[in-house]
Amino acid sequence: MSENLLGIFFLLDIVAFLAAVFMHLVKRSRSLVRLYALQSFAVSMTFFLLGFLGDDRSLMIVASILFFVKVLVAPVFFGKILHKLSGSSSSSNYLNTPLTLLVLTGLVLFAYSKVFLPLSALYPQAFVSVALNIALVLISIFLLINRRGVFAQMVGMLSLENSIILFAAFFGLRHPLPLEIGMIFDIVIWMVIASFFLGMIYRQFGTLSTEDMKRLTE
Amino acid sequence: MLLAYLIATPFLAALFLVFLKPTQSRSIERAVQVAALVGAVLCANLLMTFESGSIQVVGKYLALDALSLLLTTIISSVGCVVAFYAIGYLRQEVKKQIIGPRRVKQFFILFELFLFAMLVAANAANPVLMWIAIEATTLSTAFLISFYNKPTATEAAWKYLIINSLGLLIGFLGTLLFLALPQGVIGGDIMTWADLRAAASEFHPVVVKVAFLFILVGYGTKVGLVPMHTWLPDAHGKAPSPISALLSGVLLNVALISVLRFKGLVDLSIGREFSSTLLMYFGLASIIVAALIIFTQRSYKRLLAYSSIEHMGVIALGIGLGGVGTLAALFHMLYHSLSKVLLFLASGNILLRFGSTKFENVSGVMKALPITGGLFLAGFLAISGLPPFGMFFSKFLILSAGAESHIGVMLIALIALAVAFYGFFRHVSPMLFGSLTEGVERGEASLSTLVPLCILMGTYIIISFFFPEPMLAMLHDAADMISSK
Repeated sequence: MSENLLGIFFLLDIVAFLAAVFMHLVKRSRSLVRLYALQSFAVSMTFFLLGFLGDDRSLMIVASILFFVKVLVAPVFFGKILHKLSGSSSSSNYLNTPLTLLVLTGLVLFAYSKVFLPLSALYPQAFVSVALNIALVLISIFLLINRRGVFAQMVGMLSLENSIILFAAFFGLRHPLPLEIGMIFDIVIWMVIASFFLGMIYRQFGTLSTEDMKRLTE
Repeated sequence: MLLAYLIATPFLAALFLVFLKPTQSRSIERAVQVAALVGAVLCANLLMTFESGSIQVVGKYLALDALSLLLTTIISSVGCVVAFYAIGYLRQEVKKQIIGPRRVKQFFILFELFLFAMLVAANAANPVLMWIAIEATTLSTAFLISFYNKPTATEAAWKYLIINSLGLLIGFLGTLLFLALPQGVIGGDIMTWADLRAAASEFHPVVVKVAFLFILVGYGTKVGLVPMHTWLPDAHGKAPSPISALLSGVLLNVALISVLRFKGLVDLSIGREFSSTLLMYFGLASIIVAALIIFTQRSYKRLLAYSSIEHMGVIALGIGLGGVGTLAALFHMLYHSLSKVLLFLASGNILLRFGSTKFENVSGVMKALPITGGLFLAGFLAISGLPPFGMFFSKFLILSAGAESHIGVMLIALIALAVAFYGFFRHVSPMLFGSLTEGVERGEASLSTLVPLCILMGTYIIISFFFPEPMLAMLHDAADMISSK
């Protein structure tokens, strides 16, 4: 891969990374959806560029499906759900904003530390990007842990999934088209099921806050 | 082609059920029974015709080797028994107006899809397909766990969905690292387990370690290894009993075998010490934590769930020790499947009669349900590894496999197993032999919820003393695969 190309992919990586960071800072669920759409846009563009430059039609098909599902359909779908579940438009973090930022910094430093240095063996030209991908994975996992809201947990999971497929794209991993479509199908079904559960949780608990879901411990 | 038909059977059954009306309960039951029997017969055929050491490739994406045959045998045989039990169990629930006919139809559609996903995962020739199928098991069972639409069940199902999906995504990251490893070595697209095994000796040693850690944490979450086990007692405790039985007795094995397939690659690449040590200590931690929590349990279904964590720990320990420990662990897997499914199904009968899963509300099972109680007691003795049950030999072999090299670990494991036994006994004894809870009727509910239990117990006893030759060859082959021979 040429230097210029690496630069473009690194830029898309940064967009996905910053979207994940801002997911920690926004409170409103709709803002989370917008950030997820932006992150998904960066992911689908990465796939599209890889397919276009490598003259790989199946990769371009995958990129188009990703764009359609994650950038166009998912935000509208989530918007409708949030509209239905009025009163659940925001959620907060367990840690306050300064502490959250501190943890995020720590996670980025950890991703760039010696611990993950061996992974650069897979792509020696671009350890910085590999580490950024690892940081994106860690930050997405932290989003799942740090948010009180069930909806935010769901977006955190989807952000983690975005970060992992970005990782795969970066290493140039190719799977046969049926498997790629199988993976996307799994994700779509996951979104639908998780959304259905949001409705069930809201009906049964009257809220989407994980704070109020403590029946199992009773 | 037999394998393809076997895998397609539950999928076609689910598809067929979609077109039936909920009121056609007899047709729904017949379809489930036919699918279960066809699956069992095809599986028996596969087992009889399997050639030792061979890999039968079916198309691009499926392959049958000894490990997948072991899993397929467990899924099809246990799945068949559970399907028959579930029919009787749900009839009782409909009779008691706990659920309606629409829920019965939904149950069996998801049940068949669950079996289909497990069969694909077991026989996937490609690690990515295996991941897709294991994720599909999570998706198909989430609604089964929240089946009763109660807040606790919904909470358990959400916890299950989030924790397992997180674990599986981490496992997927590990899978991708394994797939990225050979690119610089042999070039081209890596598709199958066989490709990966062929390239394993050239893998970068440190990256292999990082990748296996992701795999162990990721798929280990689905196995229920401590400390990633937190979803398991809630999900197994809240799901309908036939589903708890399949989750505990079958799905955990599917996830564990996934870990072991990657372990084989690690061992070929950097030797067996790294993966074996990790498995051994994760296994030991699972046994200790489960044993301590079993002691303080208040619900018999959760107790059985913790017992599953304990036994997954025993299997991981055996595989970690290697040698005869690996073979013993595979025997243990088989025995655990049969006895745990028996216990969960018996607990379903108890729940139907007593209406509670709490020990404080359930007493005198032997008086109310003498056959179920007797089978529960036999299942308890079997799963505790008392002689002459087969699990006694598998546990004994695992512990003796490490007696020389890891005497300290074996002693701790032995003490933890004794604590678990006592904890189990402490709860089960008053539940079975105490005075009958007031207002509870005596007498078994129906034959259809008893016969499957008897079949499981009978099978367990038979294979404790007489192990059929094709199954023995399959287990030896599978042990060799895990040991990378």
